[in-house]
Amino acid sequence: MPTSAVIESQPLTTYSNQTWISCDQTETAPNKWGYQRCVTYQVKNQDSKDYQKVLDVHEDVQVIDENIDAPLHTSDSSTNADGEFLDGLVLLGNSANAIPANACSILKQTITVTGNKSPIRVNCLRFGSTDVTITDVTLNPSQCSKPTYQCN
Amino acid sequence: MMKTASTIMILGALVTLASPAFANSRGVSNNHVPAIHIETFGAHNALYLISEKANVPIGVEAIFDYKMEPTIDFDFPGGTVADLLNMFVSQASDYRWVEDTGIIHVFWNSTHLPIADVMLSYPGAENKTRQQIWDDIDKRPEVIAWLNANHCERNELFMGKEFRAHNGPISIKAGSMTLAQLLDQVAIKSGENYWAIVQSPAGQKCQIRISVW
Repeated sequence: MPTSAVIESQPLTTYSNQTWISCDQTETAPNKWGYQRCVTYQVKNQDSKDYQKVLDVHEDVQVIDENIDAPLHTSDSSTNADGEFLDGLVLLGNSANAIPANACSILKQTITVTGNKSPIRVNCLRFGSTDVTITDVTLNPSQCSKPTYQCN
Repeated sequence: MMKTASTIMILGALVTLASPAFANSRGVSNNHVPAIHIETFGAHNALYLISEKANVPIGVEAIFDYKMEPTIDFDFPGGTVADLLNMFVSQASDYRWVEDTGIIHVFWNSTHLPIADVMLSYPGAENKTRQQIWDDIDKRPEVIAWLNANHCERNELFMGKEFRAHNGPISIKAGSMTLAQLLDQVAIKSGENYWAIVQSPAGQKCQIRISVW
């Protein structure tokens, strides 16, 4: 059964009055400032072997703390036949100063897939002004909470 | 989320609602919702989760002050949408909800944000996506005039997933309507089920987010 998900790659793209292109290249938006990290996951089975099937991927997101008004939104997706899926971690604005220098948004992201009711991955995501950091808290999801993770 | 009387006076342009929170007994507030867990920082984030998990259209008018925002955390045992919203309000006491036709409106401190009441001579939308209709709001002269007159600017941040779903073409008839009424139609017809107008707190540079996601 699908049991876990590991990050295969997570390239960062920054935008400065440029057209944003989503990680899967299905969406664009002109004149954006900010960044995008395209995270590719590989689903693994209980033996840590690649789980190579198409699966529905569902995410639940919880805001832990934030000092910017970045509206919460979730999106479901699916893996490819190799058991890989993409997650675009994005923070964009419409002007150079839309994202303040001290921007902070901390989200707890819980990822589940068909075939396993338990999460295969729980991340603590910290969005800053120029990048997002991903901390795997799957083994201890309650770790992604205040005061361990909070905006100053 | 304590707000002083002086803060409310600074927000003098806000219009107080006559009736804070009473449900229409036969509307969406009477729909049944299964047991759900809501846990998130920020009242408007919680309302987004409520609209998504309870499948109920919600429009929100709020002031966002991260220093004052509550963390909402409750287990809803199941019941009506009204029960669920009352449970939300029990943890976000500055918010009130009312039911309108097919949608729940939630207000911070029982007030409409003035921009939500701006009357539009809307030219109509024919087979446009939610994103296209939202993009067009920037071009409405009434919205531009209000922002200029009130020294406010739009400021939306995007996390890249806003238009992934519920972005099929919809149509909206031309006519006079408030911005809130336009957003109601977009939220309901698209199936996104959620809109928000969020303004910066009094005393700060006036920034407004208008989102249909």
